[in-house]
Amino acid sequence: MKDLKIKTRLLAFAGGLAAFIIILNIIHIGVMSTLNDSAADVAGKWTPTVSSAQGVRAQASAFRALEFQYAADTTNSDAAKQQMDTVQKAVESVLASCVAAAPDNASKQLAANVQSAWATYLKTHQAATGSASEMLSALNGDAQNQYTALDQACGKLADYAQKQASVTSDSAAAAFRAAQTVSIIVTVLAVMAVFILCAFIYRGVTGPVEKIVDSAMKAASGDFSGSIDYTSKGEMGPLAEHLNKIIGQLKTYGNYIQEITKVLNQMADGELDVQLTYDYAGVFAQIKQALNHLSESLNQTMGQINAAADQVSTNAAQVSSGAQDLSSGATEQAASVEELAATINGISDHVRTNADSARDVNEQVTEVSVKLRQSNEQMQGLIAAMHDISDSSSQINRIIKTIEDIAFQTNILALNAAIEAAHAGNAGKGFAVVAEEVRNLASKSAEASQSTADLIKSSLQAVKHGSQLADETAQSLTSVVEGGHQITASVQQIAEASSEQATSIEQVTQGVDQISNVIQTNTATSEEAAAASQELASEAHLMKDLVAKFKLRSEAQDDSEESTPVQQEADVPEPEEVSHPVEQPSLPEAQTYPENIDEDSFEDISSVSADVHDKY
Amino acid sequence: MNNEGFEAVNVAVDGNNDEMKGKYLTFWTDDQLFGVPIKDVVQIVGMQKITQIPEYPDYAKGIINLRGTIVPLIDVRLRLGKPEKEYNDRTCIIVTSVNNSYFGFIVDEVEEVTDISDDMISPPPKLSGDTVNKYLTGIARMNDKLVLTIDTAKILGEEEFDALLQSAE
Repeated sequence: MKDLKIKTRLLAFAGGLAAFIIILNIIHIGVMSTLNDSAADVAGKWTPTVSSAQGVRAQASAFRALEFQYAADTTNSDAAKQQMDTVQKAVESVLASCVAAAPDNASKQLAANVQSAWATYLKTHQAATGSASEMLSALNGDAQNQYTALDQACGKLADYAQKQASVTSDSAAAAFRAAQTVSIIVTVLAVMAVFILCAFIYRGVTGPVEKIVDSAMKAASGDFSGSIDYTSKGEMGPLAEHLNKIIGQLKTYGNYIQEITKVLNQMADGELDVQLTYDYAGVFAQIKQALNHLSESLNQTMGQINAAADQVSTNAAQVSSGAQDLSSGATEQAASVEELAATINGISDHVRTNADSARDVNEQVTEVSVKLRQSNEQMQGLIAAMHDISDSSSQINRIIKTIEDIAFQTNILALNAAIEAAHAGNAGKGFAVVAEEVRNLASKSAEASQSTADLIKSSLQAVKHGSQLADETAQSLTSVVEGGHQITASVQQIAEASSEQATSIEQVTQGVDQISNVIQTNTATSEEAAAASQELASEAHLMKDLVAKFKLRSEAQDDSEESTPVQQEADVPEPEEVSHPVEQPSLPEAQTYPENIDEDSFEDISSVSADVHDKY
Repeated sequence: MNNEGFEAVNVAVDGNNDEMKGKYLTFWTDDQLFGVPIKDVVQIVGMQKITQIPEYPDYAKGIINLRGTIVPLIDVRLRLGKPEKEYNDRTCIIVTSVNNSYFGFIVDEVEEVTDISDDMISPPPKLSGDTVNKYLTGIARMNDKLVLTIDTAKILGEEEFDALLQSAE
């Protein structure tokens, strides 16, 4: 029994169950055929006989009712006759079917009785069809009895058929009860057999399964001590055997995991100088390799992190100092820009004053220009007056010429008088004195006219000189007026230029404000950078402290060689990507950090200034 | 002036030689002051229209009609060998009477009628064969001026005198 396979057991169970079902069905089919026969007897034989007997009775009753109608009502005798013929045919047809359907001899006899009673009654009827009175007498006479006989014959037939139907039905009920009993017994037996077979199969399967489950649960909970004590040629035997192998392998793996756990704990505690001793099988060989690789990598990485933390600390200090320098420089810049803004404001005021002054100068120059034009007109009047003076002087000159002529003539006259007086001798002495006086007068007159002429001449020269000067002055005034126009234009240009300067200086002021904002932002940024770099330095120290907690392989083997953070061991295969960062440190040198920062910041500042320059 | 005046002059010339002695009429020619005795002087007239006479010497400029009397004219400048000068309103004609003949001397300017005593007159410098000496009678010093006194008759040569006189007539 133990070596039977689960398949075999299940097949036996299914076969037994099928046999029970087949037996039960055979019994059922037999009982049901009996019941079917009984039902067919009732439905096909006896029920039609009962119905046809009762049909005959009903039709005969209807016939008799028509006869009475015929007898009572003579007005419609033909119609009543026709109806009576129709009903007569219906009675005869039902009677024929009743006789034909009679199932046994007794019923056939009873049907024949009915037929004969109908024939008797019909005979009486046909004899009385001549008139209504005859019919009425016949109805009350012989026909009365004959009808009663017919009715009784019909009732006998119906009772007999009814009785036969109930007999058949009772036999069918007895057969059904017998079959019910058999069915219950067989069903109970079948259920019992099913339970027995199930228990048998269950016991064959669950025994080893429970053992296997116990061992598997132990193994699942980490206890690999137990093994399954079960051997069988069925399916459970190999299952238990392989499960035992699995548990044994798991035990080995447990040892692996224990060692790996130990090593990982050591690494977690900072002991990075660890090696795995077991000869790991299967995927655990990869784990061993990976763990050794991890140890190597962590050694190298921690060494690099240590060095990087050093460099980060140094560079962060430099960045901090640089950022502080930048911050102080930005503060100085802000101060300078504020001074510049103040200076520009002063320049703006000056330029505005300049513009106002230029406007005043413009107005004054315009007034001066008007006055100069007036002066020029007055100068032209002066020149005209000079010309008048010159003309008058020329006329005076002519008059003086005339006076001179007169004086000359007078002189000659006086001389002639003197000559006459001399010729007159003593008599002319007094005349000579008068002539002398006249000559003196003429001489004085000539002198006076001469001096007047000289004066007029000098006056004319003066007037001429004055005219020249007046002309020159007029020309000068004209050029002065033109110069005044030019001055007006220039002052206008100065005023416009001053206005443009004022506008430009406003834009410069805005630009300086923007520069001031940028510098304030720069100051804040550089202060933030200084704070961030100081924080970075402290973080680097913290990182260094954290890294110092790890005991590296190189430190364990050779403390003096700090430059090579990891020394490779011979039995550990060296991955190239591990040694690569050691040979080529990815971190830049310490001096390059501040330069980069300075250049970046300068680029920022220059870009900002370039932006500002572009805006203005 | 009129004809009666001429006659009176003629009378005076005839009868008052003593009174007229020592009186000179001075005139300017070529910036030199000359003096002619007043007894020779008839009249002073202004410049007038001159009628030129052909074949006269250069210094004889022509003749004028002085109230009906033909007066030949001598340009003193040219007669004294000085450069000719254009006449102006100062130029005068001194009409003289020499040997009862009228001559007109064209001078640059008439100065005055003045008294020159004999003691003021020095004899002219002697230069042999000098024609100037024929009419230059002396040199008088008057204050700061020197006056060359000339003989009216001798300023013309004998031939010239006659020729002129003839042509005038």
